[in-house]
Amino acid sequence: MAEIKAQQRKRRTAWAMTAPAFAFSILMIGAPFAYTIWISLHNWFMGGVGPQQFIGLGNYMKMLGDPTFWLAFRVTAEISVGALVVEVVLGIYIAVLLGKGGRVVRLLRTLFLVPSVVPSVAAGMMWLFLFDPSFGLIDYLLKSVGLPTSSWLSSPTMVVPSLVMVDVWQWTPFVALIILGGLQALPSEPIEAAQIDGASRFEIFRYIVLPGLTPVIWIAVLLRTMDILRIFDTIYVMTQGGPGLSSTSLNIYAYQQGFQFSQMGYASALMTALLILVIATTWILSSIRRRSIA
Amino acid sequence: MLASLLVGACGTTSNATSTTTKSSGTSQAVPQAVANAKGPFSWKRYSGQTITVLAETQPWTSAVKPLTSQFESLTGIHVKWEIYTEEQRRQLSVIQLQSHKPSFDVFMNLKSFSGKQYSQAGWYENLYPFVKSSSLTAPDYNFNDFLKGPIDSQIIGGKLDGVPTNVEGPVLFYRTDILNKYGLSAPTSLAQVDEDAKIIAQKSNNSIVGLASRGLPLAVAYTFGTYLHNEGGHWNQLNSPAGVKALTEYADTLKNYGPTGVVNYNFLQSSTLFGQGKAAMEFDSSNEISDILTHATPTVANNMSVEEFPAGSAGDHPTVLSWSLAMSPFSTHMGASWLFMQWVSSSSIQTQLALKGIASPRASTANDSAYKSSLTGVKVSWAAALEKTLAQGNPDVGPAIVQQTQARQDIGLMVDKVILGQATPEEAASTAASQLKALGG
Repeated sequence: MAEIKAQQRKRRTAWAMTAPAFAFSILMIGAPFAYTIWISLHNWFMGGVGPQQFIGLGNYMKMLGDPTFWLAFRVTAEISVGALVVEVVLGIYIAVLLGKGGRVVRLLRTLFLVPSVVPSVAAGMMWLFLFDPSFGLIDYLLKSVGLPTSSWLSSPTMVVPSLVMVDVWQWTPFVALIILGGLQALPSEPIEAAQIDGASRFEIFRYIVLPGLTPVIWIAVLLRTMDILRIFDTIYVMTQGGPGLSSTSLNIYAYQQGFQFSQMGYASALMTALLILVIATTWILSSIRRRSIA
Repeated sequence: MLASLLVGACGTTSNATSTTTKSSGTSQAVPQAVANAKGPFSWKRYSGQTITVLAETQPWTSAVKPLTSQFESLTGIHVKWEIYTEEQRRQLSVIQLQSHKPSFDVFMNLKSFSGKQYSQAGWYENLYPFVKSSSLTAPDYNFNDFLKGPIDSQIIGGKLDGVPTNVEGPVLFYRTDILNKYGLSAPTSLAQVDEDAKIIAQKSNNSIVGLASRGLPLAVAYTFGTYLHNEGGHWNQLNSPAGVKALTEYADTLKNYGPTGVVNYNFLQSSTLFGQGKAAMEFDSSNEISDILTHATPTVANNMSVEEFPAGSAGDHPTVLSWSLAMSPFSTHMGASWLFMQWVSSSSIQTQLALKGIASPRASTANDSAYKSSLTGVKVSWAAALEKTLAQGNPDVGPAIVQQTQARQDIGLMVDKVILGQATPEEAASTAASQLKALGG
């Protein structure tokens, strides 16, 4: 009896201790989210005459029939998949490289991490100058070695690869760091046993290291996926969704609708759709991860 | 975005009236600041107060900001500037005015862009009561000195929604040395603009851009509008033969002889390119003269001229506009704000700004001796071009639609599709015409 009362007291204390954090989460995350859903059910043009008009799922129906929405969806998918694949492959390679000891490698480790700590806006500004067809370094170097140049951010076909390039530059070190952590946590005995058995370095990597790194790689994929689906700042700084709509991601499109065109209702519906996309993609990837590890 | 929605939702009905009182003997609401102001006019009436001015990065702001200390000494009012790029300023204005608690008292505004939306929402304070108050307006303010076009552009629904701070029209800046080098004369028609640009680009082996102008979607209506009107087109008939012709001319010239990446170009990029000597001609606002001269190489500065933008088959109808300062109806410093607005739009300050290349909306500036003496070098041709441009100005910078930003975006995307080869002029114009019609254009 005394034990039960002590346990109940403990439980009440635990609830009391976590209540402020819980209330904070509801207030700062839940309330704005619920309000966004509420606005998405209305037709609200900021500065319009009269109050907001309840239209139910009208904004969502409009979204499904909006060709620009599907274009933005495609752009988001292209940037996300393109950047993710390159970042994971390069990240694994760099992690293996950085996993070796030595003074030079330790110095390289520090230098490799620099892009990840550069703010996205600063990175975007820097690459904007690098890509400039008149003043930029990239075209200058290409021209000086006789290679063809490109209009990069002004080309509808090259703008997405250009943005992928920037994202890879900025976030591959982050992916490499996560994988490096996993690499350093791997037990050395299986690798030593394989070496004794005469396995080549590729075979050791393919059959021992890579399977051991799988959980960590999935974590890196999940973290980057949640981030890159919401890509906004580099696009906003570098292209603002242009040329035309060629680099308009879902986040950029929602921003344009809300803050440029003052269509807050429709913008809220777009943001809700983006949230659902991020949650759904994360859930799918988590399911695949669980099955691959099991 | 979620936080902004919460802020923006704090006021969804139009116009707060907490600062207005009914005046005796009239049916028109009078702001409290006007009702409370008694006695003779004094610049020091609101000494000690602080006002915030929301402005954007452009030549007018660059010219005015250094003069702020004059105002502060005169009035004892401290001025805080919040300066952003044009697009950011617009977005900030909308969000903050929607909340009814903006951080600014006075804000830069372009009536041709946001006049309908803001007026409908009640986001402008009517300035007529301030202008008519002998306690709040200096005796020598001379409201009737404003040119008709600029002041008419500030009147919406019988209310004075701002004071004009400049006038600008589209002009052609060009390099006399480059044109002479290739045996060309300053173009006198739209067709000749294209021809001259072609010859320059080809003969210089594309090392010099033939024509720099705007391609950024939200910015392009200003320059494309001149082509449209000069070919006899109208905003509500973009897919007419005249509209398609104008679109073809504008897009083809920039696509073939414009700078690489022109679809991302606004006035900043065009003027930078021209000032650095990499473009033989620039088609943009007369307002750009001060920035070009500030940053131009000596070769450019000594070999440039300005002319009104050439006529098309339907004549010469350049789009002209006036930037203005408007007062937030939610300001708690209306009196001090009005003192700033009348100071910055006064004859003496407008003359000082005109000396820096900001064309004045006041008639008296043209007769000022200091201004006339300053017209040397390229400013002679600039002043002449501007005078002709304003005389034939068309105020229809964009279609008469409340959702102006969306309309300008649709127009800009129309132009960019043709420049990028994503659509024929007919297809692009047809799509844009439908889009504008759906918006109420």
